[in-house]
Amino acid sequence: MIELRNVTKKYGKKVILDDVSITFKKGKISCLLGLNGVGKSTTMKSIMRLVPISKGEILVDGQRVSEKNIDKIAFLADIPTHEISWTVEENLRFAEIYYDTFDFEKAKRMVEFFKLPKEKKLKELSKGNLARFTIIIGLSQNAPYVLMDEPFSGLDLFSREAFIAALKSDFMIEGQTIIITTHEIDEIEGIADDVILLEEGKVLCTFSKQDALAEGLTVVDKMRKIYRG
Amino acid sequence: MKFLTFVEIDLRKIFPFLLGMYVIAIVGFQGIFAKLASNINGKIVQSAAESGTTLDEYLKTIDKMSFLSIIDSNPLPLVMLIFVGLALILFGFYLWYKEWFGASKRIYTLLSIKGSRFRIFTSKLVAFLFIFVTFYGIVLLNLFLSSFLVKFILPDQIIASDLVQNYILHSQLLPFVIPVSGGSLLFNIAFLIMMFSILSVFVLWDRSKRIWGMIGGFIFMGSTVAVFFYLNTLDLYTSEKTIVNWAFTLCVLAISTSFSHYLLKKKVSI
Repeated sequence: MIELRNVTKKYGKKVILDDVSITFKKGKISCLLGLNGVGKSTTMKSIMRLVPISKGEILVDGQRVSEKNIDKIAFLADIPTHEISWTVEENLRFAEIYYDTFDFEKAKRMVEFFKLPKEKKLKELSKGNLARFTIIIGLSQNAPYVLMDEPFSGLDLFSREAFIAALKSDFMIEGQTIIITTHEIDEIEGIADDVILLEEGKVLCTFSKQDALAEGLTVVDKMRKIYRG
Repeated sequence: MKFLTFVEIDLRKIFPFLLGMYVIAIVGFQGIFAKLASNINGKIVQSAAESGTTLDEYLKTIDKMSFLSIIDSNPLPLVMLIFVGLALILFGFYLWYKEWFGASKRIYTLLSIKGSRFRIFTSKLVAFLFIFVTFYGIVLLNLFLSSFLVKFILPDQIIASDLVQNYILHSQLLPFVIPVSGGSLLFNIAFLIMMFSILSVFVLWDRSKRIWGMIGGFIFMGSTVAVFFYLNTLDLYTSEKTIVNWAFTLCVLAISTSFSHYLLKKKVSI
């Protein structure tokens, strides 16, 4: 599992994460929700060490995230992070070198599954196809933990469906943990096992799908109830 | 393998620009050199006509022409190469900056893969050194091309032998463009690494602390340049100057490389 223990992140005097403690359980799909600017992306980037934290510690399987174990986590940023002037296939070739556990055959199968034009450059892909490419790179790393930052942002309905379908497909490895940040709560109903609500840099509440069902609510209804008091 | 891939990607990206700069360096140098040699040729013909002797007779009375008498007396071709060199230094800066501010956010990937982040620094350094080693090659190529070109412009009788070799050994200006001995090559490489490290401090500090980092980076760069110029104004013997320059280069290199290492490992933020 991934644990954030009393994590604080400040930019100057501005506190983005304020003594946040979260546990992302292994094998679950956890959704980190909140309005824009509450610290969702900062949480993801902190886990990936892309943003140094001011206080606290972040552990993956009980060990601090470092250069040695960072490959346990795959990160899908909300912007293209690969070479946009290269083709899909070229990028996959390089991903095979970058990521020790990258499964090139799986990536090829996913390209076919998503009907992605592999000879096209990334900058020529539609936003939906770019999102598909990102998920291919992310899932083909076979990392036990996958972080997805705003994966639904800017996607059309069909692309969203394809994205969600991938999370329920054989392309996932057994026991894989997914952490998704989003502010579009309707999308997560069918996929979320656990929900963590952030507000102003703090954890507002956490609950599981079972908790919601026990109250006779859907995940989305439970969130609405919490937000509306 | 990952490290070589980093280098390969950087080289692939800079190749078109580099090729353009080298074409400019060759065409520009040869063009200016040809103009200088033609001017000299014109003066010889004019002087021969004024002397009242035949051209062949007149040519026997004048000194042989070497690159020293063509280039060092009018260093425009070398000045042009110095400007190309300066553009290449700025390009080294771009090697860093394009990853942070370009359309591609590949730095996300580079920072989040397994292994030391310092590879990002060293891979760019290798690309930076590659730029200058090839630049030195282009300068030498220019001298060899000029040694052929001069034969088309000036009369054979007045062209000195071993043009390139003599120029490398005796030019007062060429050492400003390329190293002309083993010792100066070593120093140049150390100096280039130092420059790259200073640029890296600026970029990485900026990425770590934003505006304060940028100010800090400017102060760091400015102070190293100021100290360098101050040291070069000191009235020292050649051997002392060599020691001072080496000491300065190694000290700044050690400080800026260590600082870059620290920033990359602990402070950079995207």
